Amino acid sequence: MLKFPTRRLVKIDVAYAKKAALGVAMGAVGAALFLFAFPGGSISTLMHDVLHLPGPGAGIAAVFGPFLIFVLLLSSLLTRTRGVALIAALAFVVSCMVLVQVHGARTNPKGAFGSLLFLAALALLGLAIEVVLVLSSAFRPARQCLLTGAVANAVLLIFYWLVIFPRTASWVKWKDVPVLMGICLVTGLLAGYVAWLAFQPLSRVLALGDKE
Amino acid sequence: MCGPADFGALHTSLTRLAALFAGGVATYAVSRLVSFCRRLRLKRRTQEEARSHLLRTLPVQVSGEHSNS
Repeated sequence: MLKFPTRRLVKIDVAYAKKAALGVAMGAVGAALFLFAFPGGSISTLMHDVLHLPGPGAGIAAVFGPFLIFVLLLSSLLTRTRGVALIAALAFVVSCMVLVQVHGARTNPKGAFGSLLFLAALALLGLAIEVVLVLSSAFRPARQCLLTGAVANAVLLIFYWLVIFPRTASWVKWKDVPVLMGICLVTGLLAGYVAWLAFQPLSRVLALGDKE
Repeated sequence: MCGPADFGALHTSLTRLAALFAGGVATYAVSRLVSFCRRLRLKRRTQEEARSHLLRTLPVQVSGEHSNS
């Protein structure tokens, strides 16, 4: 009588561990790709000196937030398991810390990469993705992704404005808030939609791998 | 407020993004090619099996017809 539930519990744990491992891998690969593709100062230069957008927060709203939302939302969609977005976010932070400390990857000090505040920001982002995905479960998956992307990007930007930028750069000006928030919502929607688009072929590939 | 501009970092970033994009496109093309070859091989094998099955069953039917007549 006791054997069946124990086996089932172990089976569920193994399945969850596999999904969590996929989340960790996606977070780690995402961090490595981000630090490789955007060395310190590149996003800031693009935002403020090329596109002439106001700051601080344009880089978070237009590049960093959408990139993270893509990685975390995709990991959550692929595993279809609660908590994996949060796990992937924590893996992203740990990988960033390791790459910055050990490998000496260049980052912008404004973003506080690898600090405890950075950990808090990404944990909040992962949590926001999880909560919005649960609350919007009545919607169609594509709309769910759009909503999650926009809300999560706004949460990350507001956290940076209130907690990180006052320490590393400056307070955001009230007159810049509408522009930056508009960019943040549009890019968040886009990131959610792109994650949804990428999920469909990838889920087929992963399902094929499982069958084989 | 925004720090000094670092156009060198931006140039590096654009180069690396282009390299990543090219790598992604190449990987996608290779995966499509592999799946196409696999499908082609499977189709050929199915046709060969169908042909050999037909060759195996045909004489039996012919002999069956002879015995009936």
